[in-house]
Amino acid sequence: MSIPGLLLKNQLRSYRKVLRKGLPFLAVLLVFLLFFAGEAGPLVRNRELPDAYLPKIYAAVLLFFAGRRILFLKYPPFFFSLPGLYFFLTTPVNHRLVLAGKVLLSYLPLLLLSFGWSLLTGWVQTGLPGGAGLFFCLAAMANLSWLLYNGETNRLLLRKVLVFLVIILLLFLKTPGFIWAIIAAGSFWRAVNSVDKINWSKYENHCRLAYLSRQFFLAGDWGGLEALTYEYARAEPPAASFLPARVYVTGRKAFTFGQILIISRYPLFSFVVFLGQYAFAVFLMGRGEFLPLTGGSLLLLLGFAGLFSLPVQKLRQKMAQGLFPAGGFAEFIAGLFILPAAVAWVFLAAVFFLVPTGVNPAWQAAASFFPAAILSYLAVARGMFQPAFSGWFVAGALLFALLFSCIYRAFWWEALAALLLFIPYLVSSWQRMKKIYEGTGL
Amino acid sequence: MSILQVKNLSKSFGTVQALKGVSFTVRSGTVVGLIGPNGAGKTTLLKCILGLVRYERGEIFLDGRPLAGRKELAAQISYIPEQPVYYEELTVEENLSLYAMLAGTPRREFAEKKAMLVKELDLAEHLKKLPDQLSKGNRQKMMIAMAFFKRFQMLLADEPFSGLDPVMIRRLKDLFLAVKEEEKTVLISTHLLDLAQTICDDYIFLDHGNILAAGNREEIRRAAGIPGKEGVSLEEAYLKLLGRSEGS
Repeated sequence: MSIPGLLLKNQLRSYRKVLRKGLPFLAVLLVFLLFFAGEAGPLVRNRELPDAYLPKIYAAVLLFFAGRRILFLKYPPFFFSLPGLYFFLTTPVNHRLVLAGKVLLSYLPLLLLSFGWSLLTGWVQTGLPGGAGLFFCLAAMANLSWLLYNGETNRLLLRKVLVFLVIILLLFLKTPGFIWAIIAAGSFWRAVNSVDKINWSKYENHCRLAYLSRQFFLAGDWGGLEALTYEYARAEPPAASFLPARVYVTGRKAFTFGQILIISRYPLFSFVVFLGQYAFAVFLMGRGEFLPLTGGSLLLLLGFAGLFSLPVQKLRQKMAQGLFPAGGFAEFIAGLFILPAAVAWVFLAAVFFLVPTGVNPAWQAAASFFPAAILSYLAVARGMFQPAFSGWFVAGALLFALLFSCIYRAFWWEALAALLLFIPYLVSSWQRMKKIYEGTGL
Repeated sequence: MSILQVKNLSKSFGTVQALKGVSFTVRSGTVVGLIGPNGAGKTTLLKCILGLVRYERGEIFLDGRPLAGRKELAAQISYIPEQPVYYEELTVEENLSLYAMLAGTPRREFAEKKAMLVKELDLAEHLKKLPDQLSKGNRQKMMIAMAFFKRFQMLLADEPFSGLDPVMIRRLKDLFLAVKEEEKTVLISTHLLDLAQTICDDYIFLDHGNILAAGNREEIRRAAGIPGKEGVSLEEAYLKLLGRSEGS
């Protein structure tokens, strides 16, 4: 087989692997989109686009792009895979040709972006580059970004500022597309001929980060991801936990303590994302119809599971590597269950006060104890079952959505039926998780 | 005749000076051991020679000429990296073929080398497997085979014995000696002094970015200040040099 044939074979097999792993997730996403397409369609169609603001938004997006690519440049605009880089560096292939191919391939997302953006804002006269002009503008920025990335460190900041100012000036002067095309072509030529000036050690390091992050993410290897994060943030070690170092607990409290410790080290952004998900879920639930209610419940669940399942996943991973936690399975579940259950109850109860249903919210808040317990159990289950969207988790998620929707609409008998349905799920999933915990089901 | 000449090479990573004006010469047709503790600067030095690390000061000459463009460099040097690097979705055989094709190895030469290397490195039963299905040692063997598929003047090997069993270590040593017989050069970075002693003609002892001593065993012994006596091990000289370096 030829060189392109083998490279293509590797790529196709890699896509196949990703697809296999992500299929359940894609299926859930598809069902979610199908459910909401009917609801979201009229919402989008009936809304008037703020034409007056679009040029400003457009300019802001371009400025953001330029700032990210030129001024606050940290990573290169494109990456090689680690084996690709090794094979490229240690063999006498035509390095310029390979680099040119790589640069051209990196234009593909820019092409799609400029095409999509031009479709969206085609009718707005912004004076800023659009269509092909926008593509050449983005390509020029990417090329300049690559040249600056590999530039000598002497006066690099000054050069970055100068290039950024020139780009702003060209945008401000409403430079026609062909000028951007000339800049793009010139910078492309320089980029391709920079092969002997590439800062390989820095580039190899960043390619490694990109490659390993992807590998660890696809393998669900959170331990690996965390180790990689610490390795690359060596200059800035993680902030010390606010928890006192003298705390010493055993048994189920040790699991809870570990969970609190891990969560306390999450970046602030994780909590912002969770609150955003929560706000959107509440907004959906406020529509009161069955499908948005279900969607909102699932969104809430995903936010919660994302936040609380990581400590479980990490523990499971360490167990697979040889850690034997003291205490039985019940202690393990109890230790990891209490904190998310308490937090979940507060957030679920708050839904009824934020979006009143006409029924006494105190009753509904009290009844939220059951979905909160299920939600917490599911966060643990998501951490225990691999992959993240395993059948076990999806089944539990649907039961949760059903129960919470029934409580929200004050369908008490239906809620009781949903709760009863949860019992066989609890028994069977408990047994399965116990096997995983004890190492007999790994 | 020297194949590699390094003059006054310096490299820093932030405030850490990895190489402090390193100078040495490697004779053509020899096996040279680059020896030093963790963090001595061995891998940085190899990467400088490979053109993968920009150095601040100094010069590197390969076969009398300053190291120039990447293509020229890649054509003359072959490299066994410390960590195996391969296409995960290609089988061992496909990885080897791809590397050989990129290295420009003619088809007939590839077939001959493949037959020899697969036999020498015991890779026959693993050819159709994906690299991730192999043990660490077998993956290392695949990387060694890859490096040998290429025509080179100089072979750089970063901890090549790592993960290999005694039989394989012996065979790899034989492969290095065969390279030497072809008047080509091997530069091996290793911690294994006993092994280095059985195969290397010359040694470069590196610590904290400085060369403690360089030369053949006799020269190393003299540099370490060990009076002439039989049976002086490299380990003894190494520890003495290292102790002196830490004391200074």
